[in-house]
Amino acid sequence: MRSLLIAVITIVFLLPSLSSCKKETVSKDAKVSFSFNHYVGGQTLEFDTIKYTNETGNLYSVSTLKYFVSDFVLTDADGKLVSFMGAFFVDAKEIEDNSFVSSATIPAGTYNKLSFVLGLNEDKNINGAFPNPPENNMEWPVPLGGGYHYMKLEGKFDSANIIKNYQAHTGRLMENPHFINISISDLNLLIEGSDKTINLNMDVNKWWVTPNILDLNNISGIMENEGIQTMLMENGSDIFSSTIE
Amino acid sequence: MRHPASLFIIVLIVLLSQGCKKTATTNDPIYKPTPYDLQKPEGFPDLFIDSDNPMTVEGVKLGRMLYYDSIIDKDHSRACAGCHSQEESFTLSSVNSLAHINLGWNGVYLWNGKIEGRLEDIMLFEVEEFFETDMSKLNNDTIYPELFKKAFNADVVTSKEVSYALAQFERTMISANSRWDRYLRGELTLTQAEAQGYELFFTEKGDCFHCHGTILFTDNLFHNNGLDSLPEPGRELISNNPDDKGKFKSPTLRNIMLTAPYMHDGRYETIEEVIDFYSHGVKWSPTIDPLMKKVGNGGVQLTQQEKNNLIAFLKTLTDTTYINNPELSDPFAK
Ligand code: HEC
Ligand code: HEC
Repeated sequence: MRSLLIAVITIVFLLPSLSSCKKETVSKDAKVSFSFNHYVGGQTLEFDTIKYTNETGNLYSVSTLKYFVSDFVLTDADGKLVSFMGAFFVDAKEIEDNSFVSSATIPAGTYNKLSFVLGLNEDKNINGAFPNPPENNMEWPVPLGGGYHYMKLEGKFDSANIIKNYQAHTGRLMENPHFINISISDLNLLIEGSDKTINLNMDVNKWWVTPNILDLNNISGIMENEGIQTMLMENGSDIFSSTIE
Repeated sequence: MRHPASLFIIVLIVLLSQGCKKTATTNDPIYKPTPYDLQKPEGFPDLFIDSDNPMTVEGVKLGRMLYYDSIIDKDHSRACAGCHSQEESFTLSSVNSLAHINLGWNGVYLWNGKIEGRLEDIMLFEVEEFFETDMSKLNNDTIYPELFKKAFNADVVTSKEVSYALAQFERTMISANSRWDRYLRGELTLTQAEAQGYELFFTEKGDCFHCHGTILFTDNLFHNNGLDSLPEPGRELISNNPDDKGKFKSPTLRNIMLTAPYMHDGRYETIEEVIDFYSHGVKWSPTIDPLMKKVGNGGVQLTQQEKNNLIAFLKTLTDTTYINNPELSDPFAK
């Protein structure tokens, strides 16, 4: 019995020293995590308070902000691509859930460009693809084409002293996908051994402007409104900026 | 670095000492309960069953007995089934209890979500706080101690085993055979009224799906659906967040025709009254859910024909095999 214990102890003590030998050959590759943060006109998003103003002059609040992001691709200086397939669900209210770490290791190098999809491309936007909560609550009705809401952005606004509700729900309407290709070309991500975090910062105010100025009075019951779906898709391309940690 | 090693030794010692115990208690049999194969219906979310309470034939059987036995009540007056009756989808109209149906997929319980977590957690609440079950009654009973021994290897019955058994039985209370489910499986076609009601439900015309959506017909989240201009606290009572005033858990609409009266306070006797409310009775209050889009018009403004179609669709959610399922019925019935 005693010898067995000693053997066990020796192995336990030996393990760390074995792995420390390896360290000298460690490469400069590293992991990246993606972290989603939410702002309105430069201020950190605070839920359920009517205090933000958009281009139209609507005074508004945000009570729900949930969305899918997918198909992340990093491009290095030589044009080499590193991609992370799969989709990730963000609920801006659940702070701790809003970052994910790439499971793969990124080769050392400088990455200038990041692209990803806000929403789900056609390969992923399939009924039943996300059967579990919280993603399943993003289901987009079958009579409207099925799949999933790309985004639910909801809140209230003050319209001539009457408080009204708005719901910016985006998704594929019948055969028209409206997922948004986001491209960040000033990323400046340097991978040289230590893990990095890419902060992706959404400015909610940008949903309502550039190129289309949107009035929240028109952002209700829009799931079947091809015109507004298209305008939100166009406005969404510049909603994210990035910082590296 | 010493910690992992010493931990290892402790684990080893614990394992060894348990090995000794086994030989010392040979006349006390260790029961190996039979695994219960719980089938998840097609398209439902995954069922999370903690490894500390695996589904077993013995556990489910025991849970079913406890569900139907007033021994669970401190003063022996009520069983669960006394307020959760199978023919009403495990509700009781006179007390407006919440239905027991597909609760294995819930994570929040009671109208205001007072209990969050696993089925085991709500069952522990029922046993310890609601019923204040007298454990000595169960421990001194002529049949139960042996059944607890067989299901959990428990020498002494505590509220933990009682709630674990109840949770196992509740997980078997699955309804997935309504007319709607059979339509999804391609076994039948809907009538025109049902199909039009379905479209109302699942588009922004009627707009029910945002809160009563998915295959479970609930999002298991909290909303203020506009019942009152001065709402009750609801969820605010639990969260202390004034933004939660008037929010209640969205109930599932499966078997909704069997579970009148409706709403947390049972204010509506019929489904027609509920549809009238959503059509033109919705009231504004500061915490009304943004999903109540037509609150400015008092609701979604359905015509009589549309109301009838919506109700025809809601009727497809009735599962008669569930309320007649012998596996869920009173095991003491003659
Ligand atoms: C006296 C009547 C009564 C009895 C007896 C009773 N219940 Fe209930 N039950 C209710 C009522 C009423 C509600 C809804 C109360 C609320 O949400 O505030 C409820 C709610 C529940 C819920 C929550 C369901 C949901 O969707 O959140 C569960 C679970 C439950 N009961 C389990 C049990 C169990 C298990 C027993 C037996 C141990 C039991 N009940 C006995 C009246 C009763
Ligand atoms: C904003 C979310 C929301 C929407 C949209 C919504 N409901 Fe509800 N529903 C709820 C909530 C929350 C309750 C419980 C409210 C309470 O009791 O205070 C409820 C209760 C009900 C009930 C009573 C259930 C019971 O067991 O007592 C029925 C029936 C119902 N809704 C049907 C519908 C229909 C039909 C529609 C579409 C016309 C609809 N709901 C739209 C959130 C919603």
